[in-house]
This record gives sequence, structure tokens and C-alpha cells, in this order.
Amino acid sequence: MKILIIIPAYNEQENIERVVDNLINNFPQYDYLVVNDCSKDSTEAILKARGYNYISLPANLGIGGAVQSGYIYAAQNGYDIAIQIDGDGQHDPAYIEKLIEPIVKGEADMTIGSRFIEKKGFQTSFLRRLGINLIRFVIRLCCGVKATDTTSGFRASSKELTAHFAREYAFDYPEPEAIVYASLNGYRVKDVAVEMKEREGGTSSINALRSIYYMIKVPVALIILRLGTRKKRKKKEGK
Amino acid sequence: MPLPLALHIFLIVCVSIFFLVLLRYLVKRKLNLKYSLIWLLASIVMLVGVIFPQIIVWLCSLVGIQTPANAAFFVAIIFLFVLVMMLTAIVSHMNLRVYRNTQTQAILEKRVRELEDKLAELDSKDGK
Repeated sequence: MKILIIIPAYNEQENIERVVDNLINNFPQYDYLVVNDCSKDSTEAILKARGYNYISLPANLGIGGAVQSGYIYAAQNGYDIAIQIDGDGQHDPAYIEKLIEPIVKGEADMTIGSRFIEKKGFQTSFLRRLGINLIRFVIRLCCGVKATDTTSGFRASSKELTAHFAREYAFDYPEPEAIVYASLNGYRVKDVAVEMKEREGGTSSINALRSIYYMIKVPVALIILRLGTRKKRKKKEGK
Repeated sequence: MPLPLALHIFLIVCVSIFFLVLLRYLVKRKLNLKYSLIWLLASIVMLVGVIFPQIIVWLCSLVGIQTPANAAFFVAIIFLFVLVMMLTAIVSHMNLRVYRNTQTQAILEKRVRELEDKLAELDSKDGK
């Protein structure tokens, strides 16, 4: 089974070596691909110097466009499962086996690593959790999926769903939208308990103004997605 | 109330200049006809309306607008709304294509890079 780990990286010069070396040394059974989203720091120079497997976007597309590049690459190269992990070392690859298990067994098409099931490890700030819970509510409303860690970037998708994501994926803040998109198109989404760490170096891309934009954009996007996919879903059920 | 002659001529000149500039841009291919068709249409409507203001007055009486100027503002605002919507749609579509291009280019760049590395390896072997 061919498995690809997609690592979107934007200005991750302090973390990327540690993250990728860990994968190469301890998890050689998985292939990996770093997607450098036109970083302004020396991320690309590091990738090149270390001879890592990477692609480098010539323009900054944001997390959605970067991850989608990875999905396109996975689809083109015939990967059976595509996994996404953050480039800042928050996600422990030791959990990948557990994460992909439902997909390998054919019980799910998409799995999301959630830190809120066993409530172990880094639980993030109160405000962030509030936002995550609000989006959790909207997702349940839109498609009935019970995802606990809705913004988690630690996730895996089956071959078929990866091909779907390669064609269509949200531009910015794509994580919650991808859940609803997958579910509305008839894919099974499953939560898997994982532990997350606090980022060790660099800075997170979340700030106050962006949070406000996030909390407005994401619910609206989810509702629009729900409105737009209703017909498709009915057709599928009718078959 | 008839339009004062000086104002009438002034308006005709304004609209004519706009029309000619538009035409010149189109001829010089600085504007894509696909996206400027709406401008061409608007300028022709303006030209007709300014040369024969009776048409506007007649149209106003038909729908019950008392001041023809209000009708002109109303039509202009609707026109701008439609135009801005169109532009947003065009930008969204272009955005999608830029994304696709960027992603495809990045993946191709990786393949070229790897081929070049292999070629360099082969060359160095031949050199020995």
C-alpha cells in the first residue's frame, strides 16, 4: 500500500528539518512530500540542501492550495492513502498507523486526528476551542458528521477521496470545509483519537483579525457548501 | 422641460469622447472584447439617450418616474452593480486558474529538477 504524507510548510525553517528527519529515520514505510508555499524564510534552501522530497509553489496559495498540490501529486503518483500533517511538529507521526487504520480496513474514507477524544496532550487555548466547537456544531447541522477536532490538520484520505480533493478543495482555512465536502459527496468521515504537541518553533498563522475572518468565513462557506451539494447528494441516493 | 442647448452639446461631447476612447482601447487590444462588451453596450445606450433625450423622458412617463435624472441615476447604479458582480465572477474564475497553474508548475518543476539531477549524475559517470 502506497502512503504519502503531505507536509504543507510556510516559513517553517525552524521546524521543517526536525519534522522531516523524524519521518525519514523513524517512519521509512511512508513516502512524504513537503509543499513549500512560497516561504519567505530559508525553508526552500533547507529543503534543497537536505535533498528532501519537495515541491515549491512559485506563488503563495495559502494552506488550502498548498495541501491540494499534495493531493494532486498523490493522485498523479497513484498513492492509496494521502495523509496531511502540519510542518511545525504538532502532529506525532507515531499516530499515523492508528489514523489510517479505518481507511485500510475500509471502514472510512477520511479520518481526522482529534485531540479532544481522549483529552490528552496540548489542548489549545480556550478561545480556539470555542471556535472549534462552534464549527463542530455547524458541521453537524450541515451534514450530520460528528467531528470533534474540526480544524485539525492531521488527517488522512482514501485514494478516491484524494482524487476528489485534487479536483476541488477550499482555498483558505479548508479543514472544516473538507469534512463537509467529503461527507456531502457520500464519503465516510471518522474521528480518531490522537495527541498533539504545542508548536516548538516559529509562529502560528492565527491572529485576532484572522480569527474573526475565520469565524465568519468558515460557517458561511459550510452553509453554502450544504446548499450547493444537496442536488448531487439526492442523485447519488437515487441510484 | 427641454434640455438647454449648451448642456446638450456638452453631454454629447462627453459621451462621444468616452465612446471613442473605448473604441480605441478595443482596437489597440488593450481591452478584451469579451469583458468590455458590456461597456460598449452601455456607451451606445448613453449615446442614444443623450442625442435623443425624448426617449428617456418617454420611458420615464411610461414607468411613472417624475424626474428623468432619477431614472438616469437608477439605471447607472444598476449597471454598476451588474458590472462589479461580473468583475468579481471574473476574478474568482481567474483565481482558480492561477491556483491550478501554480500547483501544476510546482509539480512540473519537481520533475524537471529530478531529471536534471539524474542527468548530471549520468554526465559525471561518463566523464570518469
